[in-house]
Amino acid sequence: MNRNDMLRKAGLTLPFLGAVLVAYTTAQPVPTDSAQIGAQIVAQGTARGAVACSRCHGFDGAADGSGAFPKLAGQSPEYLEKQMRVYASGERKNALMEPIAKRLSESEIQAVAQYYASLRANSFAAKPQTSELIARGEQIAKVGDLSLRVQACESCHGPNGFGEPPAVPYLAGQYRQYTSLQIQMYRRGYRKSDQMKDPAQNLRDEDVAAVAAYFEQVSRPASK
Amino acid sequence: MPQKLKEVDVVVIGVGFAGSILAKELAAAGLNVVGLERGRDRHTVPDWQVPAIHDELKYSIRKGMMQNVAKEAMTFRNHHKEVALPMRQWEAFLPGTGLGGCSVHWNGQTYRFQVADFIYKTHIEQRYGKKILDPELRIQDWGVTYQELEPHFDRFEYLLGVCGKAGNLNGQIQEGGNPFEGPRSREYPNPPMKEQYAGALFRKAAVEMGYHPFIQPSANMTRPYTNPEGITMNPCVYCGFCERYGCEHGAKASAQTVVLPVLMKNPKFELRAESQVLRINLDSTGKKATGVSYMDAQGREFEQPASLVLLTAFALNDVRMLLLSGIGKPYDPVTEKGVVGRNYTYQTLSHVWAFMNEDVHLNSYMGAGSSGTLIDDFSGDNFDHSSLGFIGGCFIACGTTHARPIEFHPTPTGTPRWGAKWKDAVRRHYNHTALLLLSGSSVASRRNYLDLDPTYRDAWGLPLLRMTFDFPDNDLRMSRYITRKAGEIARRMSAKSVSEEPRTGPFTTTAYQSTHNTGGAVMGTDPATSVVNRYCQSWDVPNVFVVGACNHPQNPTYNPTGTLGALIYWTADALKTRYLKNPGPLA
Amino acid sequence: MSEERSENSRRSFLKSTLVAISTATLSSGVRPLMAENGQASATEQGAKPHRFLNQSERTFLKAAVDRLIPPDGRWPGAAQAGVVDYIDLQMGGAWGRGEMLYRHGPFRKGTPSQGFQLEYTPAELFRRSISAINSHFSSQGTSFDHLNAEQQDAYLTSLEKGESDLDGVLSNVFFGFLLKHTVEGFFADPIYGGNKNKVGWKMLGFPGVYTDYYDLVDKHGIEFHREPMGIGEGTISHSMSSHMERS
Repeated sequence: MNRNDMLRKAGLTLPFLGAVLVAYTTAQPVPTDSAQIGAQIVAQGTARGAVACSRCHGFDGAADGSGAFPKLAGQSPEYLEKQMRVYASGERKNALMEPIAKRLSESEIQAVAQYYASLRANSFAAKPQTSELIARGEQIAKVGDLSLRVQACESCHGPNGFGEPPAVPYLAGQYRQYTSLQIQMYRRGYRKSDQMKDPAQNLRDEDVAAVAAYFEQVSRPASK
Repeated sequence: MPQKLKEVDVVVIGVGFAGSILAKELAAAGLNVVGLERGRDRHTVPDWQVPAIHDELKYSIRKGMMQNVAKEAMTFRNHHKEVALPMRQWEAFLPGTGLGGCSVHWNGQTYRFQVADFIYKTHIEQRYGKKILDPELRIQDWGVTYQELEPHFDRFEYLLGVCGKAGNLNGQIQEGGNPFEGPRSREYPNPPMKEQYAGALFRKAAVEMGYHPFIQPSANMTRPYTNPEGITMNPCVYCGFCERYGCEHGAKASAQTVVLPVLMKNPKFELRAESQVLRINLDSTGKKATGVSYMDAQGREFEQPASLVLLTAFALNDVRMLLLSGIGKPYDPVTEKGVVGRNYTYQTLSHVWAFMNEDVHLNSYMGAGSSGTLIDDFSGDNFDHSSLGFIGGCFIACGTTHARPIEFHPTPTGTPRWGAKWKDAVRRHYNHTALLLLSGSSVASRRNYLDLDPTYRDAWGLPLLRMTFDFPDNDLRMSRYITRKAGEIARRMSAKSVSEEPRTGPFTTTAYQSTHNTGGAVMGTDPATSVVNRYCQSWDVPNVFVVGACNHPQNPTYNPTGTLGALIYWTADALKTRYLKNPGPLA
Repeated sequence: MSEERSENSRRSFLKSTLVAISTATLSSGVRPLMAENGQASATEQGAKPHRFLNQSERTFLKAAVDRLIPPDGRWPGAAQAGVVDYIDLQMGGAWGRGEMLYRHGPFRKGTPSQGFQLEYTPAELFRRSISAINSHFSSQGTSFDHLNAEQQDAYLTSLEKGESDLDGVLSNVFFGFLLKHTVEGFFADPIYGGNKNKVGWKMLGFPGVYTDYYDLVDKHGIEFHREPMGIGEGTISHSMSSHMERS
């Protein structure tokens, strides 16, 4: 079975349960490259108690497929770093990530960001959504909706939702549940962004589901 | 046979900023309003979405948002002794078209003219005496003062969500703003734009030289903003595709983003797009408008009767419509009789290029329409002209609206125009060159005017507008002097080399300068030297109001739109509180 | 108006945008996927665009534009960047046909301030001038592309500075047109046939049409390197503009 299945079996499906976790240790030489240092933290956590990222996000950055944790593979490293910082400061509210981010030093944040940024995009068989939902999502993604006063997502999130590094994350291939949840977070102010404020408020729930379903099934190129 | 339609209360000719706001005010007051727009209906979604909208060839080079020159051009000559020929493509200025007009593709730079600008003749003659004026100049007072317009400036700025820092709050000079500005009653609705690197370098040099830099006031939003009409705009992302383009984010104030959603919901208002107004119709006395005649896209002619006609079709089109309709006496430059077309003015632009070291990464493509740092120390009459021998001034702004490569690939003076050296210079300087833009005033001259061309016609068979214009020598002297000053600032910015490009004559239609075509239907207190009174009401036909930059008796230093906005609300107020209660001459 | 729009079906809305994208490209002179007579274009079959220019015009232009923007050790010149394809598509489209100009007479020679006053469309201007140039060289038993680079530069300079008559077009007017279109073709979005592989943008460091710089504009002096993104990037399979980009 693959690593994801192993982790799932270890009881990681729900993030808020403090389930007993499988520790993954290897004996490795001391790495010097940032991504290598990042790989070690991802696998083992840190001495100051930050838990291993792989427990939720996986070694391949695809997490457990549940959609509760975002895919990180190939995300802009500056974007990942910024999210860690806003988790640590509390500006982005998340009960699970805040203590983890607080326990990472600046160089450790950069290291794990480099690790996940360096991973190639992985293909993932999304559960099929209705073609109508996906078509509606594509329309909003590429054209927008005048009646909702929502501009095309791709205006900022790049062609096919591939992102505009360093600041704007990719949406292509991201778990639809995660994408939907983030829009809820923007709506409620748990995530702050002047740019996402209006789109999050103007999209209705069915539009959020459509956009999330559409982007989930857009495949990103394997190379960054 | 033209079809005569049912009478309405108001016809608005041209549904841009002025037309939209006036239509909204009057429809909200209960009047039936028809808006006739010659161009298409268009909206943020889907018409201005990325990537299609960021097409430099289509919109910047082939002028995709502009008036269709194939159907309706203008003719031009520098001097009335020449034969005017058509501007067969737009270059020097770019008249817009379509719902929202120029408010869709402008940059969003929003200023108030200064206190002295509105009483320019009085002020200049008092300070310097008439002797400072070249004999050809015809500067005038506006007939309305800054103080009278102040609440209307405020209302327009809050409608647009203008972003800036007040420099003068009720007479108190404020840190961080423009110390030279006229007093405003309250702060701007939104905080200033982020400062670009080039602007920061300019700021440092300007401060060292004793000038007073501040962030350019902007109608590109700096944060989500809900205006008094209840319409929300999004923050600008500094995309570098502002002027000549629609904004994909709803971050630029335009008729679509500040007022149309409310106007379009009002059943008292009807928009008829693709309707080309041919003339305003007058009764047999010639002193009363009975409505307008227009042609739709299928070529069917209609007569739309109305009690009140608002002409808001852009400065140049406004003047042409008055001439085509026989409203007011056309100006004759030889006899100086007549008023329609008189005092046509422009903007006196110049540039200074600062070529920096290759380790200074300016990233100028991260630009917004109104992103800049500027100094007002040389604007208007903010400095002593006693020994200088000219009047007027320029603001000096540094900051980039864009670095789109077909339009922006600067090279130092002396670089060949093509070949290997040119290519290398373009590559080396592209991301390391700052532009100091000088926007200068334009005095009115007896020689510069607008009228109808005797030879060339539009697709509807009507005479084209003829423009007779050249820079008065006063403005060229002004440009030389202030451009040298800007050069000093550029050198202070540690530029490796500086290219100063003051404005020189003659005015040519072949290179872009500005679309601040002003005057031609000026406002004033004397019908012998103005077309409209101080309420923008025609002296000749009291149920016709003309609201546009054509009302400016001369053009001060700044972009006209902010002041046009004040005139819009000033006129709306006059209509609602006085004219509608008692139609007739207001002055 | 907004009520009407919200009642549009999703499909027709999307379709209208794809049409808007494709008519946008059409109106700027890019040829459509299907040529007017309904046959698949040469573009679709992978061959070079062949809308307007004949072979001798292409030969002249290939040599001439490569003097205006020459290849150097690191960056391609105009020919390799596809500028001749760009000119071909432009001259064969609305711009070349003069549909974006006021073309009513009488045509008179004007002052320099009065700009372009010729009765020729851009396509006619190119055709006449290049034909005159080619005739000039063939009457001497040679052709422009057979000169060496120095000789070509000298000839182009003589066109630029002079007012010799190229079958009704002043040589400096032709030269100005040629230079203008060469620069356009080098830097315009690749959907128009030039700026192949975005070499013009890469040379400058211009990131292209996707432009969210909100977080970056005030990070003064950062070195921002990104693979440039063009209009053709955004559409995966359906729109005409992606076909243009692939050609």
